[in-house]
Amino acid sequence: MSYVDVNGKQIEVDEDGFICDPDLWNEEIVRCFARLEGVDELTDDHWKVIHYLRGYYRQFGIAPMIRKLCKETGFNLQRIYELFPSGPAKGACKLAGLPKPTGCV
Amino acid sequence: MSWFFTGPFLYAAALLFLAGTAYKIISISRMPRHLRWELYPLPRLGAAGSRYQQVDHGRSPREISRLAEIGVMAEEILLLKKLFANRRDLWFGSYLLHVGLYFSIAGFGLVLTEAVLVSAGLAAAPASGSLAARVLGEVVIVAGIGGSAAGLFGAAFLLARRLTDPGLRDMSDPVTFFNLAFLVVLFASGLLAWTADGPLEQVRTHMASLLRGRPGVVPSTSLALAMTLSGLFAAYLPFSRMFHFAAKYFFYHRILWDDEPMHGGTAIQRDFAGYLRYPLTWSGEHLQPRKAWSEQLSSRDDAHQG
Amino acid sequence: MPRVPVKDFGSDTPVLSPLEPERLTQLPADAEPRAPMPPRDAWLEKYDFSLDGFSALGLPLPKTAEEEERIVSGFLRGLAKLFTRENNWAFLLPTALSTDYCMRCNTCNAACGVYEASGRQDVYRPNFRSELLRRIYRRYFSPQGKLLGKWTGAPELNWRVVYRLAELAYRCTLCRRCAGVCPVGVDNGLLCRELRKLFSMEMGIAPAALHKSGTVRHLATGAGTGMKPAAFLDNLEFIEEIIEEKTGKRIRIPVDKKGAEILLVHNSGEYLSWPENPAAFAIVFDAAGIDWTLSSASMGYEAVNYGLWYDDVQYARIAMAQVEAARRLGVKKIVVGECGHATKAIVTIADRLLSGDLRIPRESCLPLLEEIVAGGRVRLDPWRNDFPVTLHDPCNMVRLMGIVSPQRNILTRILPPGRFREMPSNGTENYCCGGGSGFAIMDAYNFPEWRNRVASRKKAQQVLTAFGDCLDPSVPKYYCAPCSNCKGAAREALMDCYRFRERYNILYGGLVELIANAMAELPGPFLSWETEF
Repeated sequence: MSYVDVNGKQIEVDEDGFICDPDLWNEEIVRCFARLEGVDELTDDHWKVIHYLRGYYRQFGIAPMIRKLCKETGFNLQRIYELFPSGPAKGACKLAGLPKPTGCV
Repeated sequence: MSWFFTGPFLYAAALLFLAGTAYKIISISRMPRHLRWELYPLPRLGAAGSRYQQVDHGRSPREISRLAEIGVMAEEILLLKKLFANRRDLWFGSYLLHVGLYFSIAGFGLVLTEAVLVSAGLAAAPASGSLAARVLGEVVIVAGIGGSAAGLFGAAFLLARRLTDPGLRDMSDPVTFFNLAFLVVLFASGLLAWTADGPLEQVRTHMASLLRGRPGVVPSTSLALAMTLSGLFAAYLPFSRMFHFAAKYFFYHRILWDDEPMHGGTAIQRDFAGYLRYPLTWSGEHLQPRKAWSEQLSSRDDAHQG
Repeated sequence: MPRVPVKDFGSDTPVLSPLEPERLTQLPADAEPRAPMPPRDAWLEKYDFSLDGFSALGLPLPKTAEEEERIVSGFLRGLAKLFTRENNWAFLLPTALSTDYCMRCNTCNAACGVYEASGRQDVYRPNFRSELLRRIYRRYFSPQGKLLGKWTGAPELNWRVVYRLAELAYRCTLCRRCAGVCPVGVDNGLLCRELRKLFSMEMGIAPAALHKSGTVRHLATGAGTGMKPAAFLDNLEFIEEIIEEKTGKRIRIPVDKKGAEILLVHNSGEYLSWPENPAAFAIVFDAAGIDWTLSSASMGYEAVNYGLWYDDVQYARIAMAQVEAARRLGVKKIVVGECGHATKAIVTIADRLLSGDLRIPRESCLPLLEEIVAGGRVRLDPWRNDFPVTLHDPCNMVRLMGIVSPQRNILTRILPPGRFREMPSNGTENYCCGGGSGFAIMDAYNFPEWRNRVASRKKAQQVLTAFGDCLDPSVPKYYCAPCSNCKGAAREALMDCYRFRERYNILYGGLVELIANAMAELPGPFLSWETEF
């Protein structure tokens, strides 16, 4: 495990940079993670994806299927990759403060 | 000294061979039935090779073709087919070595059988010069010389390959070299003995004397040496990895080809019920120390988190 | 090339056998991915990379002599337990025989996809780790061994030997191709699994993906993905929408139907990553009039059993809970979807653990699909699948269960003549996709770099050979892998690492999707060749 400094606060992340305790998540953390993920500017489109993921995670405890993410946000996969260069799982989910999707996914 | 090694020592060696073989086979067959771990296709299931290609496989009767199974075994035992198919560069040497062993053992078996029959009065003594005795004598000589020569060549070839092929050399432990060297010496002594003067009569006489319980002295030094080494080999065999000839039966019939399904009320079910009562002593944190397997398995809610 | 003899396994070189990328077997130049990434400095400070420069386990480097000693003593304790009835009745006979009767002929070497693909680097020989196990066991636990000492050929035990051996237990996909060629019947795949088991059950060492976020989470949440029943039902609803989009028809996917003929259980990853697979099953079963259901109960909608790969207790806990879920539903039989390890785990390996009312028939979906296709229960137009297709044989269903012909009989009926082509080694002589034994989901540290380049390389070569006459991207091609894990490996290795989609226009997917794609009653194609979503 390692730590990321978010405005002086140490946030514990796993080896791939995913937050260890999703309850600690806040918008400060998103901005900090975004810099690390090579997302220079957080637009409304970014926030739309992040808020959808966050809401789904709160309701169901896991990340939604990618196809559903696309449908609900209205962005195709290509657009998601434009927004989050590391992709929906390694990029968008990380910014949304979800734990890393694991299992046969 | 020579009397000791071709007399009492051979009795001890024979006893060790028999006891060792029995001990090994019994301890292997007493091991618990394990969880299924087959490798397909199963020869006993014929052309289909598996029951799992059918819907409702459990409902159709298991048709078992022992003949197909025996065919596969025969190819293995007589031809070393897997080695031929997958490691041809070693096959010829290994094949000669095995044929050498088969021939040598066959020769020994023939002399032993003859001596038993003679002592029981069921056959004429070799000295009578009967046709049967003469034919048997020729066969034994051929088996002895042919077997020793083939075995010597095979073992020497394999030893040389093992010393020169870096891959084989790196993967061999000292025992591997020892076993091959032992076989080289054993077959060399056999070849020496069989090509010396009149080994057949000496072998027959000595076998008869051993059977009577009053071992004589073997006049030929080379024959005495071969007999001693054969005794040593026989005593060592069940405790060495060369016992694979017997273990192989279990590898195939009890593991790779064993698709025996569980049925209620059978021995297999009783056995497994028994195993589940064993206490487990692994120390992993997700396990409950010293509790029976059955308790470990019904403890979903206590599963260690993290 | 540097040689690594077994006895030197504990040497204090920083990396015993660094992977040499230039020795990997050749792929066509344009398919060769970049060289693997070295471990990050931050990892090197903390974790052991001393086997080959990769880490699957993230074993923390010991800091004190006491810690080093604990590693060695824990291993020796576990090794002793591996050979006792009480602790290892489940695999004692195979373990003991494979330990005692190897003749060191190396016949297994050429059969190993990993060893061959690596350019024959010593430590990846399938018998290398077995040989270590044998020699160490002999040296430390047999009377002769105590006499012979280093003449057993065993390395002097130190923490490096133990850690490297733990990592080495995760450089084999447990495909058991080697066992099929062994003249004696020795099973290096089994011994590799036994080593993993020793590490997990005695020392708590296992990849996080398999244990902590694998079986532990599976038992806690009901599915290996962490998908709880509410999420499962939500996904099903979404899949019903997908079906409606594709077919113009709303299908009610049956859930928790008591007493149904068939309980269909998928790898739960299908719902999240390949929803078109459960969708295609629903379409085909619905059209064929099958009496089937899914279960929404915890454990009832998840077929995976990662315990199969590393831990007997976790394995048995999951297998029994899965069958228990089926029993409560009162179904006549369990049919496992397109997931190889799950099929073998529940159908054959669990067989002797299940007694009384848990003796519910269990089978693979492939014979049932064959019956549907061959029995004319759905109307098919093979010309809808007018593109080249090759078939991957998932080890667990094919070599380890003998299911060879159903998938081929299906393909010949749903493809136009001449479209199906076999890979060079197929059927029970297939090669692993590189994702076997958990590799497809193990993505910690730089392990995926190794997996994609070494473990999946043989499959990449086979696919390129199978499509050798039509590699031009103008021809769309389909790599059919009826197994979730194999699809995972295809995505990570063949698509992301080797870029088969971009370079050659090769699409990957399961078998049932191809059946749905051939269904004449569908208004259009089921498969989508454009980028999904």
